[in-house]
Amino acid sequence: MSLRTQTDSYLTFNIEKELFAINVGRVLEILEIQPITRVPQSPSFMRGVINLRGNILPVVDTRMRFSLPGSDFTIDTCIVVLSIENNKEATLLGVIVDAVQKVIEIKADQIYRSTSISSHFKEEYIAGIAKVDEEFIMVLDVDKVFSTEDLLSNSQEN
Amino acid sequence: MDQYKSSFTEEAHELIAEMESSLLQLEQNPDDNNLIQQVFRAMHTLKGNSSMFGFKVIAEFTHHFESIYEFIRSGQQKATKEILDISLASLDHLSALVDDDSISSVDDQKKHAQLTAKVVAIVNAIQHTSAFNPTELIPEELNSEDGLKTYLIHFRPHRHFFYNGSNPLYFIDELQALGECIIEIITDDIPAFADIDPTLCYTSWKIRLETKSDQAQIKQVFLFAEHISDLEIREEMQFDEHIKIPEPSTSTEQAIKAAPKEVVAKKSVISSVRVPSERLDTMMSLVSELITLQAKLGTLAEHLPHSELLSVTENLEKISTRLRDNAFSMCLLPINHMLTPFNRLVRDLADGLNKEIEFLTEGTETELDKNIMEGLSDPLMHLLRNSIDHGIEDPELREQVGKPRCGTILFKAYCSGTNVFIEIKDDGKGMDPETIREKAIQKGIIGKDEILNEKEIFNLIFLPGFSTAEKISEISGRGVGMDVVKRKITDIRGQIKVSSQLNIGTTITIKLPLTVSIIDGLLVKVNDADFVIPLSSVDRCFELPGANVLNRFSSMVVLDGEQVPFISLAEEFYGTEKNGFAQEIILVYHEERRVALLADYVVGKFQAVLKPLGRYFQAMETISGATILGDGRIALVLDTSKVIEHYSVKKRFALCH
Repeated sequence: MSLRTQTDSYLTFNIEKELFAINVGRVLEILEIQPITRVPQSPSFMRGVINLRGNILPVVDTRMRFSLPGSDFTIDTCIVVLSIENNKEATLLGVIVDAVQKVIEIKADQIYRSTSISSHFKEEYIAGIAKVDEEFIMVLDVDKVFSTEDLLSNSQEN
Repeated sequence: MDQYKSSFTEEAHELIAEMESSLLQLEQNPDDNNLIQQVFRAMHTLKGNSSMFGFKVIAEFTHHFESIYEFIRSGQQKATKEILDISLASLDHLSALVDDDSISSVDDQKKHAQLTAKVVAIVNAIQHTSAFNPTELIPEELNSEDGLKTYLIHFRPHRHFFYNGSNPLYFIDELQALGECIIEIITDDIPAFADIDPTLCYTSWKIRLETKSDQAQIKQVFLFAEHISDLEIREEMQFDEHIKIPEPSTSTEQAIKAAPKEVVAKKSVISSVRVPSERLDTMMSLVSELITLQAKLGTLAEHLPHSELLSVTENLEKISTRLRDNAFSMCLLPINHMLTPFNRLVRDLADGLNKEIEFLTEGTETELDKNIMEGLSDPLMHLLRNSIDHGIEDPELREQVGKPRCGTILFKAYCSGTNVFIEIKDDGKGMDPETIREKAIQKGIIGKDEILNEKEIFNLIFLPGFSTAEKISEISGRGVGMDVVKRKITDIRGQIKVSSQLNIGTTITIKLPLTVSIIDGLLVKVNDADFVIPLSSVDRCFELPGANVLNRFSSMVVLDGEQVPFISLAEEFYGTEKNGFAQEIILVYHEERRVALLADYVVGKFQAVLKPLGRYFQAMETISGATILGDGRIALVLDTSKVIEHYSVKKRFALCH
């Protein structure tokens, strides 16, 4: 589903030491990190909401989403605004990443189905693995990682 | 052309709705002349419009239909149930025709043929029984020789005749239906080609009409053109008959005399203006933006103390508040706006099920935001269906249990605080908690030994996949019912509750917010975060009294000599009070009681433009939305009753464990 947008350009970014990629078709903009209004009693990875030009944008902490240890924001920390498809409805969501790298080309045949390589990440969240310049990049299936249902059921477990 | 077509469709649907509501009222008061006139007028307009825009099938159909009401109007026929039944069925059919004039579906074609036959049959039946021939409607019978009179008609449309969409040719066509016409077109007034304004009407007509109809009937043709044209009708003496004293001619004077009546009637209609609802939505969102901007200006003015700027800001605030209230009230509609389909539903369903049901309404003048009303229509329809199908028993059964044969469904709306309540109450068989329990166990919704109180049991019916109907009927009980109803109500920020007593009846209460977008609130700080408490639920604010009054152990505070439970928002939301003790107390209403909320301090009154937090925070019931402050920061809007409920559930839970 995440490969719906037929472009070979991907935005790469870091979380912890890993390199991830999201199809640019899903990326609306990249914002500097800014104060985030926390919504009380919400699950901890739901970082809160920000004011995106008069609209309310929910923000997810990707580190916490992947059960990684939290870390302080640095000058590189960014909020990537994504368009997520939930039950055929597009919703905007901001996700916090450690640092945005660059936009690269990954051809569809360069992406391999992942075999479970990292215990940190649930396999179904990863659309595939690409090897670019001797580096492994995990291509995220954003609709799955950030689906409301998944996040909400996750919140009940917490 | 499409544009005209869509405006025709829109108006046609409105006319049909108007007729439907009049007909339903007519059923209660069959002799009300006003209602009959209303139906007739609407029908006539629809007929006119449809033939003007080339909807032939509709024009033809309404023509027959109109004939019936012509008889009723002239007192030759009573509005019987048979006629009303067919009328209502015809309206449904018309409504389908408006969307699809060519009748593409086979079912519709069949229906069309059936209905037309029925309507024509009624017309014929009346004609046979009545002595008087309403010649306007049956032109074929006009040709009998005796009683023919000749009229000279001078029809002079005003220049602005076209402005309301009228077509003079249509009136002339209708005249021709009355009898033989010789038509002369007067083109003297047409200016030179260069000076022609194509939107004006320059032509007039002289018509010599041979008919059996009298003057009144001819005037009737021009009923809808009376105020936009000059009309002169004169009877011409027959050439070969004895000299008759001519009837006094209807000169323009008389036409003018009749005109003011029409004008008065028109005026009372134009006291309201129709506005497409998208425009209202746009206006509301613009007003929202204005208020956000005004808040920004307010913050700026505070930081740049400048007396003139302050006074301008203050005035702007006053005006934008008034503008907001005004814009908001424009989006309010009285609930009776949505009642016609319900009336109809009860009537038709009760007939279909052979039940006798009286549908009562109360408080229908209560106003509700149109957006909420739109979302409410389907769920209410469903609830009513349930009441009719499952609630009210058959008349025989009702008599056996000592109830009146005729069941009652009460639709009641009322306003309380910032909420509108809608109740649907029937005196039917009610729900048996035991049956529901068993059903739920059977369906695996609850465990076998789960203990639930009555309220919890009734709430089970709102769960997906739960339907108590033993057999699936056409009307309700597809098992998709109540959970969908609940979801739709929740979507418009409403709540639904059900209570029922076996053999006495069921009451369903829906609680709705008054508004969807802008609220007056109290801006408070809790642990440095901003929150807005809706002013409507606030009773008053107190400075924190001494610790001796505040009993932290029992969570009670004494205010005005009254013990009130309190909740510290900081503790509730963040677990700790960051700034030491809270400084201020906000007393809010919760159901019939009052509860004190503790906050760091109260910033002041704030107009909050409510923005939803979106799907990702759907589960956060205590926060009903967010709003943007003057400096761009976000404040969260609290749903105080949810905060309090949440707190009491947690507390009970803690006590149990």
